[in-house]
Amino acid sequence: MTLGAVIVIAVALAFDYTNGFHDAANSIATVVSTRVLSPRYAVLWAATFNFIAFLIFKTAVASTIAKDVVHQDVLTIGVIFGGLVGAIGWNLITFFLGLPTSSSHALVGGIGGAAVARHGFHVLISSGLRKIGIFIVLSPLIGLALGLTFMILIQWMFHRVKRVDRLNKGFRRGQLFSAAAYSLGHGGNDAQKTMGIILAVLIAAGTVGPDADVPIWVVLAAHSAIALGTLSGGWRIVKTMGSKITRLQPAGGMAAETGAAITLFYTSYAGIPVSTTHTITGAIIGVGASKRMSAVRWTMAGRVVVAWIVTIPGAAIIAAVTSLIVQAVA
Amino acid sequence: MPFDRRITLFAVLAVVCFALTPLADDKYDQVPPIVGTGYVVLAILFLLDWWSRHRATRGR
Repeated sequence: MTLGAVIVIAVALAFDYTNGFHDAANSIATVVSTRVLSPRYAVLWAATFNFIAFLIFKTAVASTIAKDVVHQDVLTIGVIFGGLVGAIGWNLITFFLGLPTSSSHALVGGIGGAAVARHGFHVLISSGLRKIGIFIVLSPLIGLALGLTFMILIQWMFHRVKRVDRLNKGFRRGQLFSAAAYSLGHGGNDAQKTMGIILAVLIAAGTVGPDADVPIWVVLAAHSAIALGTLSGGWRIVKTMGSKITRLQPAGGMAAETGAAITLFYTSYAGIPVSTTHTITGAIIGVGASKRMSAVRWTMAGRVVVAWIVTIPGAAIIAAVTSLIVQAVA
Repeated sequence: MPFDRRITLFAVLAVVCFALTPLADDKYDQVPPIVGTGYVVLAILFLLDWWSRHRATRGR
């Protein structure tokens, strides 16, 4: 393997680490805000399930990233590096702008942009991009519908219960499981995007064949990186996703996490890379909407829509410029 | 009783889902209509709930 390939793999793992660092807040914010666990234990809980996700999910999402975005013969080390720089650069810009953008969409935009800059639009695989594009919109909508439905079911099943404190205690315990399920889904879908990038690097470097599966060391490295990111940074940036969108009680937290987890399980199984942030945002909006329209801060939903529109072109432009610079230097 | 704006929201989301159907490839073309149908059901349930409350309020 060349030094360039090793550097790109290291950058991909760093991207995965920052993903865990940044997205940990999504999986544990509701558990922390409802005081089910202290921030430290909540992060440990989420990181554990991020890591063991490799035992449950196959590597269909990784294959989609490596093989369904652009034609494999144009995925050189330079193109992949440009794509990663585009994704990381876009994430940094939107982090400072406060836009809830998706690392996954940035990655797809980055890889696509870097490849198009060098070889033209014909290298894009339209069926793969259509699949990803449709689920950019669908995944938060599925999360919203499931979060809302679960919340209505909970209200309907327990509306006669007088001992609200005892009920809340039960839901607090339930949240441990729903947060674990969401962390599994997060680890399963997001770590696989890095696996896809590393698989593409290995194919480009000739280390594995074009039809090869993801090697086990890549699976373990990607899950370790995302779990370490969650473990080391998550608790510092927990600003309660719950209170940003709508005020959540334990029952609402459980409904939102369960709805988002089911969405992520399905998409990971089907090999569709989706935004875990947008999925949980949709589910929390669904829980808020079960009360009344004004219980949701709709500005957050509007910002998610803006993020849908600008992320792929934004990351693609940065990646295209980086890719052309790398080509000129090389 | 003021109209429940969630009904409009669910109806719009259903339209969005159905509009995505022609764009989906063969393997996933059943997902958008399933989600869209879910929103239609939610819109109908919320409409019925609002209508019954509206009638009860008018009857008083």
